[in-house]
Amino acid sequence: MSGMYFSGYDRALTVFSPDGRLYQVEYAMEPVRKGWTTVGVRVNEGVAMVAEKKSASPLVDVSATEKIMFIDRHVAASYAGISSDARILVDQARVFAQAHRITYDEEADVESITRKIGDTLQAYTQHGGVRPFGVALLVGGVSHGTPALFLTDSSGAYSGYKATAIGMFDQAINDYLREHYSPTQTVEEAALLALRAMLKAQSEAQQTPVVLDPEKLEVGFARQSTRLFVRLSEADVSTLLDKIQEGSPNMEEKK
Amino acid sequence: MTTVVGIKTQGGVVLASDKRASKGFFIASKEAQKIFKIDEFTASAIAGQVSDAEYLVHLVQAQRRLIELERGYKPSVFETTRLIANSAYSGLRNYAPFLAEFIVAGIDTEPRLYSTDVSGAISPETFVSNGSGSPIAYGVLESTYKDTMDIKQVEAVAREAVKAAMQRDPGSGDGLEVLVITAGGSR
Repeated sequence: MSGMYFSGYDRALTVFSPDGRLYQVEYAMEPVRKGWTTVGVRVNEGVAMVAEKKSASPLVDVSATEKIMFIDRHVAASYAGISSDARILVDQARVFAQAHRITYDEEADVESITRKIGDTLQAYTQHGGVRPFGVALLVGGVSHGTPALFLTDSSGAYSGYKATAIGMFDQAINDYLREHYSPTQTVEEAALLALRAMLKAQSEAQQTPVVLDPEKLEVGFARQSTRLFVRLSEADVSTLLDKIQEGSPNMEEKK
Repeated sequence: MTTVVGIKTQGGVVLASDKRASKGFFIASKEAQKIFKIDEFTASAIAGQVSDAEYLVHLVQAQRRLIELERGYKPSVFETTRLIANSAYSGLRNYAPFLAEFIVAGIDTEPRLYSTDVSGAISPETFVSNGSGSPIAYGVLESTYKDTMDIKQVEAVAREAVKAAMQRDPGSGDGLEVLVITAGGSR
């Protein structure tokens, strides 16, 4: 950015500023703030993930872009920020998950996987000659029968969440989630909650009612009962969107 | 030790095994598992050093999951066999061979049956047997198998082949295990 004031503490990564900040790591979170929105909601029944993929051009086939990426059959990750950075982290997480299976004959739990991703992220804030990852990952799934949702960012820090959003309009979405979250919702209701939050945040920001396009959305569920993460088809996303339009906040429908 | 049999037909593939695990002249287990599902449509029957065989089965399961995640679709039965064979071959070339043989059976576009061994060589088969009881099992297979048989008949042949081997091979016995893979899945 032109005219920006550089104090000298944002040139080399590993240098702290006098007030204890790592500017490069903070800058790395900027593409996350501007990135495509991803929302995760954890309820007693499982975890729901909703991710948006907007395209720069109508000629881009967004169906070829994966925003909810499987790490193993019971865990998946979604991201906001630089997609290629996310892919590298997910590739590593996949290898970790399978190595865990070979070593222990057990599924890796969601927190272990998130911590492993966080370790890589942290290393890139400390070593020389590298830049930090411009991405935040939302990791959701089932750990030995317990639903789990974690978020890790460019700094490598991670924490567990009941519900959270990253990317564009994250503040507004988080406000909505705080107000309407309940752990007794079904995963489908949790996904609807995430979709409503996105819809409201976008409509408010653009000051006009927004319509969500099922082609540009990905929805995934991890159910405690099956211990599997499942990604919905475009048709199923469509049906889910239809239920939003009906609008009633306490819905009973279940598959 | 061991007898394992695999037979392929139009409607599917069948794997059969005994349940004896031996330590020399001692029966170490009467409930050994020798048929491993790799996924709903792929399975392997093992013979030889149990630890080596189980390790390679676990390894190929992990490799397959990674391949599926990375490229978006499952490896074929042949690719699965090739992954096992690659590990076996590199073991052989590094003076640390995996002392095991594998019958890999499954359905992708059609029923498939392959056999691979310590050397990493792969051979496609219509019927095959491995283990110490295999000469006896082959006697039954060669005399009763016909290429006009359906999956039910072929399953019966596989059972008889392993039963015959359990009668006369001291390395095989203690019960029969059968896995049938058809387009509807495996049971």
